[in-house]
Amino acid sequence: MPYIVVRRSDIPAGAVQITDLYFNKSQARVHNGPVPQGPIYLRPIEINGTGRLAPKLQTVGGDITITNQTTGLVAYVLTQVDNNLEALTLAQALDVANFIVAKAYAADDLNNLQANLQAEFGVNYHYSDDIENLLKILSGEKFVVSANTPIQDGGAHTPLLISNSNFPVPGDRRLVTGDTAWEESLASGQLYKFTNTITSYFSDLSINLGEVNLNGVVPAANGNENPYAVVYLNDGTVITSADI
Amino acid sequence: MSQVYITVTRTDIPNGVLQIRDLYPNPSDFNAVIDPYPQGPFYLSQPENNSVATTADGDKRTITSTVSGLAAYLIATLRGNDLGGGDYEALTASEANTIATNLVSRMRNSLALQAANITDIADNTQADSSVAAPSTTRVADILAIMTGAIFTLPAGHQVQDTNGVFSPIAAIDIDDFFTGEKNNRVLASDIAVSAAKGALSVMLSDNFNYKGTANNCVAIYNSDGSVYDPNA
Repeated sequence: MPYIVVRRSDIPAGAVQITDLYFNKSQARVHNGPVPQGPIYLRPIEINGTGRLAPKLQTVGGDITITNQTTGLVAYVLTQVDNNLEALTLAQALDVANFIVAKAYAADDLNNLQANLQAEFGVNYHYSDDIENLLKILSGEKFVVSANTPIQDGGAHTPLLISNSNFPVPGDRRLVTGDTAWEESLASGQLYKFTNTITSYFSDLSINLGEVNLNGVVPAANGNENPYAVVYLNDGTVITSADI
Repeated sequence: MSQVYITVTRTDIPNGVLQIRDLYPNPSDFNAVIDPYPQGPFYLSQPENNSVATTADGDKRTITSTVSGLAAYLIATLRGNDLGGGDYEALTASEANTIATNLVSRMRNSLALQAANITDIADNTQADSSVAAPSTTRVADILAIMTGAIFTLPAGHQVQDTNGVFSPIAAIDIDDFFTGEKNNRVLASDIAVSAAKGALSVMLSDNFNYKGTANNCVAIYNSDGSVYDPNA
């Protein structure tokens, strides 16, 4: 299942809508029509490295526990990435989360994340979760970790087995493999525009507007001069209009 | 465009009781001038699998009485015991009935029905049986029968000639023995969306409840017999 992931931090949730995903809710026939595929709003990536919803860790001997109910990418990293079989510190998890966000903003493939992490940080980070869980979070789904979730037991990292209960809000941010609506949109519709062109958002007119694939403009990594979004397949690879 | 076949995995659901409504367009609101041919609604049907019986006349064997279903299809298209020299006997009625039952059982468990799987099931019962020549068995036909398509062999249909050699229905003639729809559907957006998020996704779920029993009730097959994965 493909996921739409934002590539910039200045777009708030619910501000940009992809309207050309057929059927649109406003004209779907609920009694005998297919499930509406649109509209889909772009959502920012929930990171929560600091603040009220950031993970709070308690260390007792070799055991580490997340003591509060927490949401977002840092919580996911803490539960799924280990440092040479030990749990990450909060600072390390925040670094890893920011690295993942930067890769999404740069529209890089995420299908080899463990090797990317090891190359970037020079330490023996391990990541082996289903990449689709990460893509859900990047696409704006709320990832929740319950209070008192252990992440290290006797000095060994204990990865959380992720289930539907960790994604409690039925956001359904997925596109459907085999559905032509999003493929048409990505090939020549709104998704084409949102993944290929640099567009100003709100009143910031200082950025260079342009079409990335036509005029060779290289967007700034992790900045707001990127196109709005990127589409990831559920194996972590990027799919572009050129792939349709 | 690839085809898919929607089969019923439970025995407690009669034909025509469950309808998949969210396939587009629905005949009730499609415009014949500008819309595609309606894909829905699609009613679920049980596979027909009546026991077949044969009558021997020397080495010649014929179907005893008119019979419909998977066993009839198999005995008319799937080779049996190896006679050497490229010749094979027909399956015995008992072998055909057993293989048919085992194939239906495989479908009930939502397992693949590719050519290799069919050969595996067949040669568990008759070691020389296979979908390879001179068999004319086609995966798509078996999938069609699994979706409830009707295949009928008339009484007296010959499956083994006077020399004791299998005489399969030629592949080009097999469709003449089917009556009605073969129930295949084009794998278009509506099927994909239904299987991922709509009515089919509910029926694929083990939480699907019919008369108080919770279990999945459909399997979706690609035309090569592999199981369609809506979440791929």
